[in-house]
Amino acid sequence: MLGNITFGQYFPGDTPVHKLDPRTKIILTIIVIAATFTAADFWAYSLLTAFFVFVTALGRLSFVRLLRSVKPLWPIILITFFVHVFSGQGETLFRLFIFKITGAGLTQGILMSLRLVFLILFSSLMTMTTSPLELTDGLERLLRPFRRIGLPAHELAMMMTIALRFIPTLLQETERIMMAQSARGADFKSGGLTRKARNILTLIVPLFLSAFRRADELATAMEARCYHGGEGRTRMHELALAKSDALAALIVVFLAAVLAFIKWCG
Amino acid sequence: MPLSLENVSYVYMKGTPYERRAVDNVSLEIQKGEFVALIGHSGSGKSTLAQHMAGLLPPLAGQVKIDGTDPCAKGKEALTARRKAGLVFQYPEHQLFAETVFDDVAFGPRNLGLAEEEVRERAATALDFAQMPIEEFGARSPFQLSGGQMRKAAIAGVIAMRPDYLILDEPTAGFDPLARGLFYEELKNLHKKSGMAVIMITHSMEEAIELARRLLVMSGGRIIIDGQPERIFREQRGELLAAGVTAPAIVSLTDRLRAHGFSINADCLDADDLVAELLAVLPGKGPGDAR
Ligand SMILES: Nc1ncnc2c1ncn2[C@@H]1O[C@H](COP(=O)(O)OP(=O)(O)OP(=O)(O)O)[C@@H](O)[C@H]1O
Ligand SMILES: [Mg+2]
Repeated sequence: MLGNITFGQYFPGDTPVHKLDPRTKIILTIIVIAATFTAADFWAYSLLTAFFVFVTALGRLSFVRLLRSVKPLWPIILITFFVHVFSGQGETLFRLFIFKITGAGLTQGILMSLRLVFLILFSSLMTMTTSPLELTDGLERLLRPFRRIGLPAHELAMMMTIALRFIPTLLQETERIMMAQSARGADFKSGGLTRKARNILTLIVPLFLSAFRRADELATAMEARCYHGGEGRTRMHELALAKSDALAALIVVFLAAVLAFIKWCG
Repeated sequence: MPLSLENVSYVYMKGTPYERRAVDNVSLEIQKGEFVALIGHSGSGKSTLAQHMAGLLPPLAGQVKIDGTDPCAKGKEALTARRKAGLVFQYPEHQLFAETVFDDVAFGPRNLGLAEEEVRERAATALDFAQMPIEEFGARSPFQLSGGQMRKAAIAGVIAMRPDYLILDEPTAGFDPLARGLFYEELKNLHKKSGMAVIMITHSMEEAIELARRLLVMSGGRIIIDGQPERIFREQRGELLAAGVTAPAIVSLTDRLRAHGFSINADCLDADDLVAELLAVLPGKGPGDAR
């Protein structure tokens, strides 16, 4: 019941998209998303859609699954849409109760929602083709220059790795404990508020205990392997940029340039 | 009426690359009063099947019925059916939550809506079963018990529900031999007294044959053997090997003795029986003048 979270899940593969350097993917994703936010007309969005389809096909991902990753954020997209529609300026198109709907508001609403959808789609594209480990590795490398101003890049990346690693584990654990307490007659779905609260307690106490136990075990295991933070640490897999990274960068820069051209000249 | 599974299948993480078939088209029926051992190698789907039997995990295909009612449905009847099956999870000590052992064991009976007196009585009996007298352990925090005691307290929490079908998922993993022996003694007594069905998951064939009169062997999500232990060791040794399960030591001993010309019964599953058989055939040593 908790296992159906697709947003951010990694789908292993052996495609050119999977094989790109994580740093390249992070930076290019940021550029594409920034470009999305400047896009403002039909042609720009057609181009973005084409690009999205191209990358998805290249990465052999399922469109359905990608679209499903938008689902949890529907409410936010809808709210954004209506806020813009109702607060639009200009000539009134028609009235709805006390609101006046304007052409400008409608366009604005559609644009903003589209941008959000693309934001989610492109970031899902990245997380679905990059393992969490690679992702944090890439992030650590990208943050490394900021160590000079006191940013603990390695520690941040390690924290992220551990958090990402344990989210599914804790979800599974929650499900297991829920079942175990249901086996003793606990009912998490119905009943009064006090009863519900008490039942939740039977879930939270074991869950916390298990999280602490796991943290403790992990800390011991890391220390037993002489982990002492980022100082002087070498890695087994050094990240290395390849030709394909340059090619990907070229494609994205070209895309951004065309989008900019459409914006200023179109 | 029995606990029955009909063509039950389950797949974890369906529709993702991590998809995994854990239970594959399992059908079986367990009558009240039976003592069944479920055995199989790691990852063969035993725990998943146990969750289906307890009505806690709705199968993706097929149907579970507890005394004729689908426990995974909605409504009161399903809830009643669900409460007829009690499942002790693998590592049940991780589900303790209350401030005292008594409160934890009493959680189930209280959920049944019983009067406090009856709750107390049930908790006391269940703790007796676990050899943790309520006077001594009732007021202690479950988190200050030893690992084995925590496990036993958690098992008592399910026993206190007095289910018709008690399912135990490797209840003694990590017990010392003495504690294991005591636990099985108590379990045997409980089974005899209460007339409940006990379904016990275990990795040890020795334990399985000591307690159960029916053996289910699981491999790759399927029940590949279902029957009486003696018959299985006699007729289905090949399947047993294929499932990665070995016959108990006493069976191989009997085999070897027979291979060396001792004409003894092949169905001995108990040391005493084997001794009696041997004494009967040893020249000049009838059962009468043993020792
Ligand atoms: N929550 C889960 N999510 C995904 N896969 C799971 C989950 N639980 C079990 N599995 C997989 O399903 C299969 C059957 O698991 P199950 O726990 O039923 O095996 P088991 O026979 O109880 O093993 P063991 O003897 O180790 O307890 C295994 O391959 C396991 O990896
Ligand atoms: Mg198991």
